[in-house]
Amino acid sequence: MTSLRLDPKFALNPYLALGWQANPFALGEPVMAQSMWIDRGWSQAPAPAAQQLVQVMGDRGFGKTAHLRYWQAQTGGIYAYYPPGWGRFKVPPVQNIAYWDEADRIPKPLLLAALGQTARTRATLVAGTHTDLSPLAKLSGLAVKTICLPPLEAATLRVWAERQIQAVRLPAVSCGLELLPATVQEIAAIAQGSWRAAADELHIWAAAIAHQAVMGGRDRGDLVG
Amino acid sequence: MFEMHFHNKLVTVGNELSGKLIWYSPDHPLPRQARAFVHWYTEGRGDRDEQTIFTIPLEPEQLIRDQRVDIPFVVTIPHSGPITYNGSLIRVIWAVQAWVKLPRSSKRDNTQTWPFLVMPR
Repeated sequence: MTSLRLDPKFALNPYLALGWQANPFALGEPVMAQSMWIDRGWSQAPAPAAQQLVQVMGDRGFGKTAHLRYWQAQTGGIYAYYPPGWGRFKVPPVQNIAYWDEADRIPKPLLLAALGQTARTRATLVAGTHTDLSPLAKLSGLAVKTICLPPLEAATLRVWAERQIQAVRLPAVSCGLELLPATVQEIAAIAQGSWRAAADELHIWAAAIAHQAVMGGRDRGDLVG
Repeated sequence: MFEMHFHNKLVTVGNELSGKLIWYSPDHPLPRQARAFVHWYTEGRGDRDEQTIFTIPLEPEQLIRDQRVDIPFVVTIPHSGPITYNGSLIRVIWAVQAWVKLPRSSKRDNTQTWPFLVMPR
């Protein structure tokens, strides 16, 4: 029978064994997300009060919510999320600039009324949506700009992942870990373009590496030294 | 500002965690607000969950400048847990946390956290 002698501090936080404060891919504060932003070509927020709909389209996990939240931090304005089920039956808010996330879930009568109000008050509406809202928006008198977010690429994922790791690194502690390009490629392939799925996979990868470091293993290429 | 001395850093559910919080802060003004509590929270993917199990009685008037103040506490960890967990997607972390607000400050000026382990019976 093998007897394990673990450092108690690693039982409390296994990531200390890698020189990290925590798992770099844990969901954190929105403020932290701002400093981790990766520009994909649409970092500039839409102009408020422009009698327009800016619709952000893309598959689940492609970054629609991240863009809405990033822009809202620049412009202010209200953010409203529409969950599945009864929670979607709420009147969409209209301000100089308003952000509606999962806007395709808004019941059509409420959507039409709010689009009309947006046009009448010459406001800007930014919508994260899976379906094209432009026919209804144009009918209501709004100019429409559509942004289609592309799937995640391995190179971009690697840049983001390295920043996340850097952010949790403890000062003056050597890390002994390298995020190998092959690992990123593998994770990007599993994620099928979704940032959320990629971050989940990276979180699992980091947990496994930390566990391995605590146990003293060195059989994965990601741990060096 | 605070130090923590646990009598037992590993506790099973249904048993007592005890220790003392020690205040000593010669370099800072006395806080106008102070709070210390025992809680668990989740960290990882998904929404954060959190529950405070016990608030350690602590009033700013107890804290005296240039003087060490011991604040002992005992708390029973619920039978229902949760237990400390280090998983692939989430962690469940138990900790004592203390924070103070200094005069003319609206935010928490010093938040300190001391984790401990909760194990199943």
